[in-house]
Amino acid sequence: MNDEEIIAFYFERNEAAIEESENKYKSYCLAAAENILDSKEDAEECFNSALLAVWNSIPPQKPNNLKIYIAKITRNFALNKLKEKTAEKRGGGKTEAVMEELAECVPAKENTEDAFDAMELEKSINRFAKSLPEKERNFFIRRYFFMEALHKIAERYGTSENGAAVILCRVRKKLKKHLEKEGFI
Amino acid sequence: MKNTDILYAISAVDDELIENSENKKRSGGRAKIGLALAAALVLLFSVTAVAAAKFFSTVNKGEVVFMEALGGYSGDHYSIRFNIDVAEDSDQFLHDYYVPTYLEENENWTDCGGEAGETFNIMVYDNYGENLYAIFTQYPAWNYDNGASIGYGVPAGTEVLEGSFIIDGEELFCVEFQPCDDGFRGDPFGTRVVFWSDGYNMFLLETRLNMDEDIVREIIRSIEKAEDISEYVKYE
Repeated sequence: MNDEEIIAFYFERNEAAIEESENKYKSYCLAAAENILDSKEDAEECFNSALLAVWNSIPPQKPNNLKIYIAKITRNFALNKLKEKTAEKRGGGKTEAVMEELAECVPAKENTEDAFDAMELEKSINRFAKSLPEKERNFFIRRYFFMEALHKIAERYGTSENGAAVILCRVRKKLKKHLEKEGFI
Repeated sequence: MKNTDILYAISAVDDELIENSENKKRSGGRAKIGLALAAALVLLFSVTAVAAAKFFSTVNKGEVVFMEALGGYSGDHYSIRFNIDVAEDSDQFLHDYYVPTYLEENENWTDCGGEAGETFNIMVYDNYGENLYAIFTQYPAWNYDNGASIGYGVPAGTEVLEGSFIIDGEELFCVEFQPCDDGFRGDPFGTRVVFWSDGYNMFLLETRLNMDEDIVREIIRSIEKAEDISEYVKYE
C-alpha cells in the first residue's frame, strides 16, 4: 500500500491506517529510537506513542513523507523518554556520546537564563543542514538525527571509522560557527 | 542552550534531506562520466595549460592553507584550489584534505567523487562556469584509510612526507591532473602537474603526459641551475 492510500485511511478515520503504518515503517522508525534509548522495549513504546500521535494529527496534517513524519515523531518521543531516564540516572550509553559531541557546539558554561526560540533554532539547524555539502550533511543526519554509530555510518558510506570521525568533527566545527553567526551562542 | 536542544531541533530538518541520507556510498558519478568521455579522446589533444601558483608551503597541524593556481588554456581562465585543512588531534588527519568542502563552498566549482582506494576525481568548473575541468589523482598507500581525501600521484619508491613527496631532497607536490571540457581537451591518463616549492611560494612548473620520476629529477636539476625561478613559471 502506498503512502497516499495510508494517509487516505487516516483521513477516513480507518484504523487500518495504523496497522499499515506499522507494517511499513516500524523497523525504520525503531532504528533511530533504539539508537537513542539503547532499549528495544523503550523504542517500541515510543513507536506506539508515535502512531497514536500520528493518528491524532492526521488530519488536519497531511505529511508529504509519511515515513519521515512518523520517524520524526518517534524520535521526539525517544528523546523525551531519554530525558526521563537520564533524570533518574545518568548513563554512559550511545546517546551520551552523541550529546558530548554536540556539547562542543554550545558554550562550556551553560546559561539557563539564555532565552532562545526553539522554532528559530529548528529553522537555523535546517538552514545549516542545507548549507552543508551532501556528504557532510548525510553524515550529520545519520549521526545526530538517527544517532547511528560511527562504524555504521562509515560502513554505509564506504569509508573508515576514522574518516567518518574526521568528517563529523568538521561538521561540528561548522555547526558551532553557524550557531555563533546566527546568535544562538 | 543545551546540546539536547540541538538534538530536538534536528528533528526539523527537511524530510527530503533525511531521506537522502539513506543513500549509500557515492561513487563520483559525474566525475566518472567525465573520465569516460575524456578517455574516448585520449591522446588526441595534449595539455599545455600551466599556471602560476602560490602556496603556503609550510603546513602545520591546525592550520588551514590552500594553494591557488590561476592560469589558463588557450585564453581560458580557471583556478585550482586545494584546501588543506589539517586537523589538530591526529597525524592521520594530516592526510585528509578538505577539497570537497572547499569546492562546494565555491559556487564555481562543483562535485567531488571517489572513495578511499579509488582514483579520486574532482570536477572543476572555470570561473565563468563554462568549461569543466577534472583533476584525477591517485591515492598513495598512506591515504587509503581516509575516504574522500585527495591524494598525490606519487612515483613508486618515492618517500612520502606529509602530503608531499621528496626527490633528491626537494619537496614536491605533484598531482595527476586533467583539464577537460566540452571540447574534450587533454589526456585523462598520466598527465601530471609538478609543483615546486622554494619554501615560501609554490610554483606550478610543468604539465606533461606520463611524467616519471626521472623527468621530475630533470626538471629539478634545471631549476637548481636557474637563477630565476620565474622563467619556469609559464603563466602569471
